[in-house]
Amino acid sequence: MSFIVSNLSCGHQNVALIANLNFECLPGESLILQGENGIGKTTLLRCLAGLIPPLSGSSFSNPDSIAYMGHSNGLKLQLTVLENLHFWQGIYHSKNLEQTIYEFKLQDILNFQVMNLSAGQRRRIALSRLKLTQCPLWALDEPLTSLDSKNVAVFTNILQNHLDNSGIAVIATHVEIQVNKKTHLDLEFFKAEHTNSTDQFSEETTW
Amino acid sequence: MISLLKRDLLVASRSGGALTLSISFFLIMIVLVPFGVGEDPLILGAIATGIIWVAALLSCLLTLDRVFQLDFEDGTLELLATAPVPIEAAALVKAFSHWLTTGLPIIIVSPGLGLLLNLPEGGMMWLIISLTIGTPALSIIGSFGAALTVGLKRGGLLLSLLVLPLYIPTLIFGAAVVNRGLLGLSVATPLIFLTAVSALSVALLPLATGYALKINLK
Repeated sequence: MSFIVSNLSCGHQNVALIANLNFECLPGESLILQGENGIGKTTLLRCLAGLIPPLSGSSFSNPDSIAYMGHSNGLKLQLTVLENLHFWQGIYHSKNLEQTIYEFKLQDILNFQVMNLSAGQRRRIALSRLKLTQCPLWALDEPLTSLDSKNVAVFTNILQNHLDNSGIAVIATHVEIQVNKKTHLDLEFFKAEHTNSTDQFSEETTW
Repeated sequence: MISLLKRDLLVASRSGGALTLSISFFLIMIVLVPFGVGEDPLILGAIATGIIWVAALLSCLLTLDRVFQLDFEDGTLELLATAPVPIEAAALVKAFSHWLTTGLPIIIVSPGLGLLLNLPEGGMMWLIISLTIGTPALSIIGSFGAALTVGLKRGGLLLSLLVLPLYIPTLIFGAAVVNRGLLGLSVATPLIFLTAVSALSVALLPLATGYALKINLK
């Protein structure tokens, strides 16, 4: 199943950030979103994940097949790592908990409360949720934040594995991710024109 | 869904106070009343129903902002919204766990507090029945208000202003059940209305709560 986005415009309220975006991702491919801060990478990812309705156009995908990962980790600090994973396992009815723990090398911290863990360790647990979702499509917003080089390698491996199993990944990142078959998409070319709002602004200033 | 309920209860039991906050508030409020009103058992007995019901309302309100706020802040809510579970069902489950941690303890201690306020014996059963039927509505209506204010920092006050007026029907019919029961009158009418309010809230409000959450997650 490929992931097709056609003529998509998205933004906040009625202010478009990204306009007329088209792309297609085949199984096994990854798309790296690039662009300066504020250009709309997060907005686009949230739109693809179904959190923000698109202003126009469509993204063809079943919302349930997308695993979204945002800036925040979505972990309960009072619970242990295992309890957090059990929660997502219950939500997604996943059968690969053991394997996920092994692949993300979480064995040693399983019974620690998340509040006692470092930012990098928390990120690793949050990333392991992606594997638990068993979704073919990953929408990742700066997934490598706080990870050290060793864990970046671990995650890159897991990502490559996901892609090799006909997965798709759309990733917004400023750090280079070493996976095969990746396409770079510079959002600068799809920036929405803000003619209306600038007109309004100049009118206001002259008045 | 069961894992969401389990996790919510686990979080409540781990974060000290979440579980005991409303019930302690409820106890303190009731215990304070005789100090203010005086020790005349007749007066206390006459106002006991109203005091217990109002105290139940307020202590329910106390923990409402936790229903969605914490999940919103740590990002769980938006991940839950993208998960293959209907957000309305998640809202219902979270309201239920709120009821388990506030409404249920209130029901359990209410007979003792009824005694403390000299509530006549005939009213005790009706107090328990009316609280059992009415408190689920408090949690459901409250979680709707919590969903509306979830994006706001310090939305607690606004939440109270939004939610308390919506509690009026439950309060009126809940207290009416006990008062009519005390007088030996038929309680059928207020009991039916109380049940209707609760049943309608459970059936309809989770949809509105889910919609409010979706809007606030944008």
